[in-house]
Amino acid sequence: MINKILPSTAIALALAATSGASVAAGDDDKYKVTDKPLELSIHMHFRNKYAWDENWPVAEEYEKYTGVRLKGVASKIGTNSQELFNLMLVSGNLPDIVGGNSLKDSFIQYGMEGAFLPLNDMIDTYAPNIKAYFEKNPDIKKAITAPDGNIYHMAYFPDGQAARAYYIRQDWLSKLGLEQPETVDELYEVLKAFRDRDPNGNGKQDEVPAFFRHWEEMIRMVTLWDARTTGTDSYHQFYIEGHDKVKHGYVDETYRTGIRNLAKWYKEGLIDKEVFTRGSKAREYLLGNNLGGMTHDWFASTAGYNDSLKETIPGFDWIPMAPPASPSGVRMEENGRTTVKPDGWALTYSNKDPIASIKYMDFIFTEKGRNIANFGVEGVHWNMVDGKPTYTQEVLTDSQPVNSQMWSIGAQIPIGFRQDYNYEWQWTNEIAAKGIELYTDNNYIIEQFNGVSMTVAERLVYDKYWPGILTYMLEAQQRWILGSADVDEEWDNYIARIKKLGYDKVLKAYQSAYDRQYK
Amino acid sequence: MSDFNLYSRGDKIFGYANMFLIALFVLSTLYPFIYIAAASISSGFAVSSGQVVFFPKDITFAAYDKVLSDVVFWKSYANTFFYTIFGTLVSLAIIIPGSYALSRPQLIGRRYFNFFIAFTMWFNAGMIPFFLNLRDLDLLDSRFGILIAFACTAFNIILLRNFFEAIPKSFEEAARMDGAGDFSLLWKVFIPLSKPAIVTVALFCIVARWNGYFWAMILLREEDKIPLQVYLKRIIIEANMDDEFASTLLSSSYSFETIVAAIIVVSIIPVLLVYPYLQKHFNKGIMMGGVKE
Repeated sequence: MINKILPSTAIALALAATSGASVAAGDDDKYKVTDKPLELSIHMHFRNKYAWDENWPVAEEYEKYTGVRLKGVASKIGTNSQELFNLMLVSGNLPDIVGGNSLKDSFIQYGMEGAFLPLNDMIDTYAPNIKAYFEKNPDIKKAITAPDGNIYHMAYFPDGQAARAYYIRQDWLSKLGLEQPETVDELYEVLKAFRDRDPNGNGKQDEVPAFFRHWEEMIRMVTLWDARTTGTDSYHQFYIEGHDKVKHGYVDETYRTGIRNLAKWYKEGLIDKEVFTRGSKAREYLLGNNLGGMTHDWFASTAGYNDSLKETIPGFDWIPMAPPASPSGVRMEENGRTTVKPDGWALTYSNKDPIASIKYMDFIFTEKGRNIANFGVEGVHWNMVDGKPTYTQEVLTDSQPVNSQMWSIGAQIPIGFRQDYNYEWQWTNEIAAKGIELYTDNNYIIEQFNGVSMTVAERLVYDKYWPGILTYMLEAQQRWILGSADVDEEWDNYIARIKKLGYDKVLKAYQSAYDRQYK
Repeated sequence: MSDFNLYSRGDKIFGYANMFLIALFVLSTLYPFIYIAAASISSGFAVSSGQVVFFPKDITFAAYDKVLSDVVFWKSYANTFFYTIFGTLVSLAIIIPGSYALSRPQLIGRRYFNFFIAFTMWFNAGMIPFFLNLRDLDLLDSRFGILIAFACTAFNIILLRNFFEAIPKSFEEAARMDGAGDFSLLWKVFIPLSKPAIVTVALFCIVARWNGYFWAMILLREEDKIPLQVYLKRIIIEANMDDEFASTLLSSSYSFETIVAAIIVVSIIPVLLVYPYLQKHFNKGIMMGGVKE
């Protein structure tokens, strides 16, 4: 069923077996990294489900060009990647290469303790493509550098900017004779109209004007009053003010204004009363039952409801809209894609052949290798059309989404590679595509911060104080939104309490990590 | 109503209140079954949009089609049977003689053995040392490892030991007079006398094996060996990988949720069939094991 090998994969396997011989010798050898075939072991378990498989068409394709076979040694049935990573480390028999998602901190911590090899010199000598990429993108190099100045892993570098957007029921707007809201005040009026004027036409006031699958997305609406909730693609993180100052959004004066207004909206029934508890079903439920009016969610999947609901709800028209302008006139989309993911792979200290390994990693940064990592096997999953890799019809029309097809053949997985946004663009829903253009052409999406790597001392301070502070911040947030306390009455106490809990110490540790890494 | 009414009004009210409370209790345990069964034969959209509460909606068997046509499902189902049946047999083969020996006063060092076994009920080495231990014993990724490593729990041994100890001395004396050794004493006297306790222990083993998930996930590496619970967990993880792209599933007649529901339904059928037969022993066994003469 879900895990079954796709038909296309079976074809790919058959082809990969025969095509090895047919590639012209010259082209074949250009990327070879060893004279004789080499087998290295890799522990790579990711997204709690997938394990590196040397029989993936993509893995075989890498092998065909480089001459290196990476043999997967991670459990293929595991359902907890972090657990498996820990067990692999303690068991003591490290494989040659280790990879996976959300391992950046582990790579850096254990790298500094000696478990992983520093790659800097090897990249300079043996990896011209990676080196060139770093020279062009110095900030990316900084982002994966450990506090001791070494690089211990090659990360996954995503492409594209757009992540989430504001979506609104255009058919409701038209029905009520309203325009798309251009400012936050207009948005307020629109949501009130959704609440009062029965846009779904069932004679009941059951509309939920604004709803969210993740309550953090509701909090993110404070950006409509110029506040910030995070700097990275995860929630509640520090952000960078100007170009060098670390700050947290939840202590800003603008945040106070934002929360005050959101609390008012919540009280007036403009925001889903169950926003904190409804969870991941919110979209299915509120859109499917013709109740929800606007949200803030992923471009691609949210646009998909236009297809799935067009028969059940006549006239259903659910489109991305530009972020309404704040009172000071700024249109901001806080959520975008980071340029570096905390994923990737690293070479262990016991690696049999570090030079071949780094060359293998470098192959994935060549155009040839990058296309394989992004799109799969040429001639099977994609062809070159007008100089661009283009998916075959079979891939585009398969009942599985393209990304999960790619994962099951070993492409688009969190190894160290450069994503090509073109991969996603080809199968992006037309409505989402228009929205993405709207957001990127107008530069609504603010730059994402790639986070810092802390020294042991900084990390100790951060780990000691930050969890308590964040818990307190989130409790206060919820109290204010739900109306059990008033943000203006509590604000001074709130700030004093946060300082008392050690906010300045955390900020200092963070700032010092930031300065070392990016200045 | 007859004149010879046995029950006063208070008794009756008490009876009705009892019935009412029991009915509530039954409902609260029965409802999850009903919901899962209803969800498994509803359409994916009806389930995720919250339209299925009690009765199925847009009835479809697409989820069952999907599940039952998956080879891995059947393999893992067969594996669960294998682990349950043989795991229970291995457990009993260790626990029964072990408990017997511990219950005999003539065993040298009996107090110490008892202490060390009971000790493991409160203290254990934790996950990583246990894992390393199994690795050094070469029990990773092996069916035998799963069977042997989790065959024996202190609680079961003590339960059965107490039961054996409660069997009157005279049985043993009589049997010994007739020339029985330890082996025939155990086989011909103690086991027949302790059936309820042994069934109870067997039931504990069966349930533990049937539900066994975590260590199977950690120790096994190949799909051929996984039990049903690991398979189920993988499906659930897939269902939660949502975010960016999940919506494409909306249009099909099944969803991850209905598939999960279908797997649960299929996987609890054997338990539902076996449980009623074992349960009557279960109650008796627990009580008898607890009392010592």
